[in-house]
Amino acid sequence: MMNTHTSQQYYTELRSLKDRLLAMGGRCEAHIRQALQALEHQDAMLANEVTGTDHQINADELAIDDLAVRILALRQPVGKDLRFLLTALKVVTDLERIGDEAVNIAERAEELSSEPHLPETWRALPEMANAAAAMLHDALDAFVEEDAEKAQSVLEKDDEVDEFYGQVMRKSLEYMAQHSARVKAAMGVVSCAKYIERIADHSTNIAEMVVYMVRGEDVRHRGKK
Amino acid sequence: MLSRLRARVYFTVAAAAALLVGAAWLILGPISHSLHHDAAQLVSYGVVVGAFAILLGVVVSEALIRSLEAPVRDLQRVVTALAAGDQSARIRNVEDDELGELSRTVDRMATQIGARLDAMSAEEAQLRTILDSMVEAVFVTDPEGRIILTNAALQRLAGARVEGRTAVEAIRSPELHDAVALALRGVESSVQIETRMATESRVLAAHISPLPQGSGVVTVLHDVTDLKLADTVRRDFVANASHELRTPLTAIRGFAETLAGGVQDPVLVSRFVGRILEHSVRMQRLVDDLMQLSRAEAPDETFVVEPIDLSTAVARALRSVEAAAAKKRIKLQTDQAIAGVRVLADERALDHVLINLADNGVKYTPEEGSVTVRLRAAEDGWVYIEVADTGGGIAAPHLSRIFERFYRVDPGRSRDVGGTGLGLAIVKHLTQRMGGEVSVESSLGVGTVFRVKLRVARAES
Ligand SMILES: Nc1ncnc2c1ncn2[C@@H]1O[C@H](COP(=O)(O)OP(=O)(O)O)[C@@H](O)[C@H]1O
Ligand SMILES: [Mg+2]
Repeated sequence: MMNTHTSQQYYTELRSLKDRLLAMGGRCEAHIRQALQALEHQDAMLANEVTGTDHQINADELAIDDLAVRILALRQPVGKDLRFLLTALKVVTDLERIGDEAVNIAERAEELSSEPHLPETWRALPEMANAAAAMLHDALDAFVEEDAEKAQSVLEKDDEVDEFYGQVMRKSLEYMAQHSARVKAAMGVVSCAKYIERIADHSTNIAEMVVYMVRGEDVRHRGKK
Repeated sequence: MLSRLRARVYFTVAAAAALLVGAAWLILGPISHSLHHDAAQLVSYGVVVGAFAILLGVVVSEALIRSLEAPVRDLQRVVTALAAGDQSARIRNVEDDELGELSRTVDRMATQIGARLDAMSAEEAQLRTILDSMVEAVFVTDPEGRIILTNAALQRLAGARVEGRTAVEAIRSPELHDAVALALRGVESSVQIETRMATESRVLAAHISPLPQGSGVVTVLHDVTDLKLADTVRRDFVANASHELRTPLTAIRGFAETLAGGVQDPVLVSRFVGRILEHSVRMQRLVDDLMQLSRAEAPDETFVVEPIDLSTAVARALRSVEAAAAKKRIKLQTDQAIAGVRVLADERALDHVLINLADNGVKYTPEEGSVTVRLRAAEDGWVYIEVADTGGGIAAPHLSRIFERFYRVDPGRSRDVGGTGLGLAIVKHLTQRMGGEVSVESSLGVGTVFRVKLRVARAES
């Protein structure tokens, strides 16, 4: 058995892992927001800022991954802690991918910034991105609160974002049919919608992991009693 | 303690009685031989007296012990009550002996503890009140980074209880996470964070300082979302205004440069000069509107609100759009009810409001339509002046935004008809400066009604 000093240290390590994961999630949310702002204001400089700071998210991923693996190797946790660490390892990859999608949006925003104005179809994007970012936020909330129900509700919101995507797609096709000179710009908007849709997918993955993490714990408790 | 005392007293009394009876027997024994019967009687007397003495001794000592027991019980009750937090407990009967002295000391102590506790809870209540009355959100963490103290503003901001959580669990910001970690190592810092809170995104200016002896961190969060928004609005305005001015300016410069390059063809020359004139008129209009708007918004610009005859003001406004209306064969109509009505308004401001609304009506109504100015009763002392057209109308999502500066439903169309995108912003501000308000109602394909609410002037004034 671990002595109290080591177990205190172990507990601190787990907590620090959780905090770093949440901070990384916050950074992802900020990047999504900035990428959308860059798109809306056709602001190439802000778009560049997102692209230029993605390395922080990558660094977050490496640091968290290292920490999780080190805890796994040294402490050989079981049960709930093991599930938490496995969840963390999965969540961190999804967060990193979300960061990449934000970069993709920023890159399209940079291309679109030289257009005279955005094709009308972009108007659905801020709301769509907001819905996706809310999914990410709620999934991480569920992670903090170990709340399977909240995680479950995130899964349900995925359809909403898919619906948005379908809408943007339809409108963009109509738009391209009428404005043949703006096909490239309209395609940029469609791509952004696709990236946002993938952010929602990654958030769904995170929520699913949280359900696994929490429900597993429930089963163990029931077995004990 | 008392039961031990009681046992000892009983034992002493019993021993004394035994001694007494023993002594009586020793002394009376030899004498009884010589005195026969009488002596035997004497012995039994002695036994009775002895028994009586024992009884008396027990009764007296019991009474004595009881008199001791009451104050001790009292003492015990008071000390127990004090320990349980009842500071009002005091000893009832205080005698003038050692026990009484002890009781008085306990009472004094109780009073002192009570006073100190009162002072402490008053201090705490004061601290709570100060914290809770702060506009800024505050939290304090322990050395492990767990939140142990918050105020009402933080609860409002976070939308949930956050005690026991870490900072980043409560506020999902990497910058705050790093700053708190830094403060736990003794370094003070300030960061600006933008993060999604309970319901929406907020911009927070955070100041994070270490507590003495590494005992934790105190963070003060100032919500600067509105300031940031105001700043964005201002920046957007400057960007928009520059953009609007640059377009005609670029055109003017282009034509002027071509002319300066020596264009000979008189047809071309007159066409270029025509375009230059056209664009400078547009710039003029924009600069006029900007001036107008800045006056409407300037707090030191005075507005003289006095009774104004509405029908003259309306007639003036309609006259100014008469030519444009005639070109599109648009009918301009005035409601009879307006005659004789006087409203409380600044004459120049009212003119601008009516001209802008009439101008929009004519601009955004197709040929053969109509623009009508009419009156409608509002609550006591107020009227609505309505400017209604039979134009294409405005789709619902735009309705809430058309009063923003530079907001246009169709920017290309607005520019083509000589709009600046500032008209309705001017209308809104001027109306507000006169104490009124403006609203809009529209249905697509039917028309739009702008409604200006102003106070009516009393007939005699
Ligand atoms: N009577 C109206 N009918 C339809 N649309 C209107 C009407 N009045 C204003 N609008 C819309 O509101 C926008 C803002 O109006 P305004 O601030 O006066 O600017 P503008 O200079 O473009 O007229 C216009 O561009 C137009 O799209
Ligand atoms: Mg106008």
